[in-house]
Amino acid sequence: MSATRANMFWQRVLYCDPRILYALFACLVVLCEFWRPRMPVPIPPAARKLYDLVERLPQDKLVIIDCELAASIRAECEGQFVAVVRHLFRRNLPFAIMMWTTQPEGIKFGTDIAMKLAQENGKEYGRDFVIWNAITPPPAGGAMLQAFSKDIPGMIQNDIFGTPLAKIGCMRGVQDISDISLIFKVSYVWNRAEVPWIGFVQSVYGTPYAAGCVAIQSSDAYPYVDAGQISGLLAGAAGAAAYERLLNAPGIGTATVSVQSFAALFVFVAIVCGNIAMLMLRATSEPEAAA
Amino acid sequence: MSKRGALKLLAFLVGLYFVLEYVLPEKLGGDFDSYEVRAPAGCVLGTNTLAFYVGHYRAEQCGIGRLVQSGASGTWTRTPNQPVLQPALFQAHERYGMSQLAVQANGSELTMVYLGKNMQREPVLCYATSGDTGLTWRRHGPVVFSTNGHYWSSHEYPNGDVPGAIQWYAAQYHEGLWRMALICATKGLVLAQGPTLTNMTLQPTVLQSIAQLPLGITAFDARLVSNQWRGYFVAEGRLRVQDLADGVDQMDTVDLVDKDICAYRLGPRADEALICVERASATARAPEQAPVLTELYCAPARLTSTGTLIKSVGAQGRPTYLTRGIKWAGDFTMIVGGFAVFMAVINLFLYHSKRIAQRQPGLHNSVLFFVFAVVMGVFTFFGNKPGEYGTQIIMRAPTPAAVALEAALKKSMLQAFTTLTNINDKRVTVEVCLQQQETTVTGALLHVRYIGIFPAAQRAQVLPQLRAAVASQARIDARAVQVDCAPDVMKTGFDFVFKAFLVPLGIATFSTITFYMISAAYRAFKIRSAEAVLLMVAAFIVMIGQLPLGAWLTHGLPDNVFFLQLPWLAQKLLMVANSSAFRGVLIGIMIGGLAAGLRIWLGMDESVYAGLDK
Amino acid sequence: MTYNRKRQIAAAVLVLVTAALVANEVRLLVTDPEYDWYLRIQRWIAAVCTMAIYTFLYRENPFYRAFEHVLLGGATGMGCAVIVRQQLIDKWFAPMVQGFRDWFTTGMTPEALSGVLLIVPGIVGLMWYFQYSKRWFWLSRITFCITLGAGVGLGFKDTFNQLLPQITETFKPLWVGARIEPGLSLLARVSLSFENIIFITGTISVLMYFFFVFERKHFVIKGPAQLGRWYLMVALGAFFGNTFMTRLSALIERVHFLVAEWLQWG
Repeated sequence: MSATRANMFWQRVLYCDPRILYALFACLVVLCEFWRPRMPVPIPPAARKLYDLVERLPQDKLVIIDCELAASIRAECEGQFVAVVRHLFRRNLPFAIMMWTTQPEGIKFGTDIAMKLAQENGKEYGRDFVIWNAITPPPAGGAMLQAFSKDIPGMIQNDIFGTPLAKIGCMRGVQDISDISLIFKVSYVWNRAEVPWIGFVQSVYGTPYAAGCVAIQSSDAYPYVDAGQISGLLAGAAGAAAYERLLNAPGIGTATVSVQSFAALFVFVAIVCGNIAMLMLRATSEPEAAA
Repeated sequence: MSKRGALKLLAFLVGLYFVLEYVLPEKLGGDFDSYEVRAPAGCVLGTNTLAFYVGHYRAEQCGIGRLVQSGASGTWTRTPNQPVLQPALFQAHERYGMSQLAVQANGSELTMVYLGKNMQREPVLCYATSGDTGLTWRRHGPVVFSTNGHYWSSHEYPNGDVPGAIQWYAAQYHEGLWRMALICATKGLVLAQGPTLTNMTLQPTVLQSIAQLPLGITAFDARLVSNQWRGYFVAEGRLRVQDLADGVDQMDTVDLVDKDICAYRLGPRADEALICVERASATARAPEQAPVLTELYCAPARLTSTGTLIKSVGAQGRPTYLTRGIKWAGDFTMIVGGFAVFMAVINLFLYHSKRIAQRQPGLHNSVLFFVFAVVMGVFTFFGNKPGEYGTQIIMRAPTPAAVALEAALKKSMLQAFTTLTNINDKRVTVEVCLQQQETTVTGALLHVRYIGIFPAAQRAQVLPQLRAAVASQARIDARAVQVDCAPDVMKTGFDFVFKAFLVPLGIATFSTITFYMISAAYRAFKIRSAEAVLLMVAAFIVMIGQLPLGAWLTHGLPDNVFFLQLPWLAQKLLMVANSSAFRGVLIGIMIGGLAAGLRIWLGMDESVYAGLDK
Repeated sequence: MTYNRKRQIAAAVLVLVTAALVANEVRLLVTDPEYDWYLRIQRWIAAVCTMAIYTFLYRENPFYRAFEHVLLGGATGMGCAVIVRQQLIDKWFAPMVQGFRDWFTTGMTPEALSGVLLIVPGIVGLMWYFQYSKRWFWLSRITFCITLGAGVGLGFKDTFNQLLPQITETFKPLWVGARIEPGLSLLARVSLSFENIIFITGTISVLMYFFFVFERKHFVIKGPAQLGRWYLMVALGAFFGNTFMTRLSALIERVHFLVAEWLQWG
């Protein structure tokens, strides 16, 4: 191949239509839908910390799950939510699902999933868990959280079905934040300005706080894990898969990460190919320049 | 004062309330135990009868107080007025509080064992000693347990090999050995003994599992009687005394007069126990006060009576009243914020209506926008009421007959739906209206509403069962039960539009960026410098290392080169390098944010008030 | 290839694909005894919506724009309805009306007063809308300043409570001795100490990277700043990896829907 033809070839490779890449990638993802090889799921220390924490929780206090599921994060966070709820059911730990969210569909997702899991695990609503009335928090929700910490029934008042909390079995004796053993937040971000758990609850009352968030947001959560402000972290679908492995109950997370593996490999193959094309283009251009 | 000045003052005053509420405590002055008194423990040291307790100034601030019983009158006095031991900043294992004291006198020395709370708010059993009748204490750190003779403790497991979080414990120094009975969260009741508290050996067998222990334990103590542990459990308003080895009760369970005993510790004398009782207050509690009133008593060991009051909460401080308004402030910001959200909506509406009014290109898109905004708004408002899930039976017209039949009717009617698949997705609601003449039910009308389609075959299966259930429970003829079956338009509309349009559009929009990232990675991710190499290597390790592929690629490596395994590398990169970099960024952002916030709060930032006369 | 030829091929492909989809749907209708029309129509529309968004990957087209506006409108309508019902009605209007009712029937009790006082945040909230009036615009600034003051005041608390533990925890021991972690081997101590040194170095050097007050001429400033840049490269690489995984998860979910729920293959 002459230098000019080679040069043209590598130019075409480097500046190829991106739609070719899109099509190849889409084919790979569709193929992985049919073929998902079993591979060991790594367990990050942050997920292990959460698991160990839930294993050590006392049974006489309530766990709060701050559920902010939305359609866009279902793929990553639904697995986290399901895994943790399963673990709590397994350990017979009473919990309350709260939905202080600006995503109205999150209320629907959270309720539906919780009820379905309760049926599967033979748990009873009211006795084993409760879903608190949904609230849309203001932009600076710290004041609401402060008031909530001092008087939980006064702030929430009813459950999502309109029943006063005083009539719900698992809410008996729950008055303030000292009756809460763990706050687990599952959301796009691990800490929101609208519901700032770390600033207003964890650092003030010491209630353990754990989070399940999308992978993109997990990078800046690690300093808080290191400082002990976050007692456990599930990062994206990989975190969900790790927790499912700890529970020995594979689910959405495990199914997602096996596809993610090959897709991630595709990205790096693409990067390597792009760099090879650049180097070859440079190499084939230099003899021309010399000439 | 100008408008600008007035607005600056308003912003400053509102911010000042929250800043003062944060900076100032809820109350000023008052005793260190003015909030609560808990966890009493006592002993006799020479001629002194001593008791120690945990006094709280606030829920999360406590100190250990000392009480002395004067021999003559038997009254208990707190001396000194300050706490003799307090959680300290650099004492990691007890930084966030102390509870469950146990005090033992050995000659002239006192040893106090207590449950501290560490940074993670986990219980850590610690101990301290005093040589001057408990006036000053020397901390010795955590009590260390081991099962294999290797005695050490670490930050991660400060109590050594103890299985799970310590919920309750009893400690006694007996015949030259420290002996303990621990109730742990996962395993249950375990025993330990050792020559010193940092050299305790756990016995391998679990004496009683969690399931075997009494339910709802609120207090626990134990004593060695003829070398066997006798446990005293306060649970569900009763005192149970049993041999821990075999769980056999040693006496009849005592129904306690005071149902709210939250602490029990045998001592200071053999036939006595110090208890803490929680009482509901007759008057409303202020925010700076504990929700319940706590008191310490010296009672007979078998709790045949409450005994004598030895300590109640200390003198109250003066409230600053700032915390009292916080709930109202929270509601205020929530409501104002709710109105603010519509600003964005109004702007969107104005933009799209302008596009339609001026017949600009793409006006059909604006029409679609309005159509779906209205449709979704209406369906959400009327069709998405919180709390509706699965199949529901609702009784209308709560007549006495309906109320009496409600539970039985609901149970038998729900049976009709159990064999149907996907019935929860249909959210069938059956409204039952019972027709009555005086006290007799004469007929019933059932309104069956569902989402989507209720297939004829399923209807044919369910409706006769519903009729039969109502007829049987209300004791009426099945022909008197009328059924009206129709889809719930609003709920169906919401469910359809939400699942058919919003969910797929949202997720698909979110996911398109994946493709752009691939083409960007292909074209722009060029290794032209060392920094680019670093970025790419880090991205590769983090991505692949967190996924099963990374674990699979390197799982064959021997254990002694674990540091070459991708998952290990990924976690180290995330927890060390990434974490430190983000922490630096975070600190920078927060300091910058603090500075900007201060400028705005103090009115130094004029951009906020642009357009107003000075 | 001529333009007409391309159009013919595209039409043929479209007809083939449509035929295949119809055949698949007929297969489902015939083989599934619990075929639910409602669910199938819902899934078909969802599939069309998904494909409409992905057509943007080919090029900008009116089909994509239309569905984008459907999403915008639907999300806006839904958000408004939720806030009106759950916040403005349940938390403000209903308790306020009840408070006034109680006041006029039983007199001014504490419960009635707490309801009546809710008129204050209502008035303050409504003042937001004076932003649309040129003459009365300044009234909206009152609400703005109240929200600003509350946000800043609460922000201080949030910032201090989040920031202080971050700063204190940065100062890790440079040598992990026996007093800090008893019972470790020498190798483990060296490893932990090395990690701590890397951590502290990273935090300080990144902070110095963003320190622009002094000129970066002297090695004392330049060196750590360059090191901080390298740390940031590592962090950004990790961030890129995590970003890709998040977006990819959404794509995987959509592909699963199309293959397993819409077409019901596999």
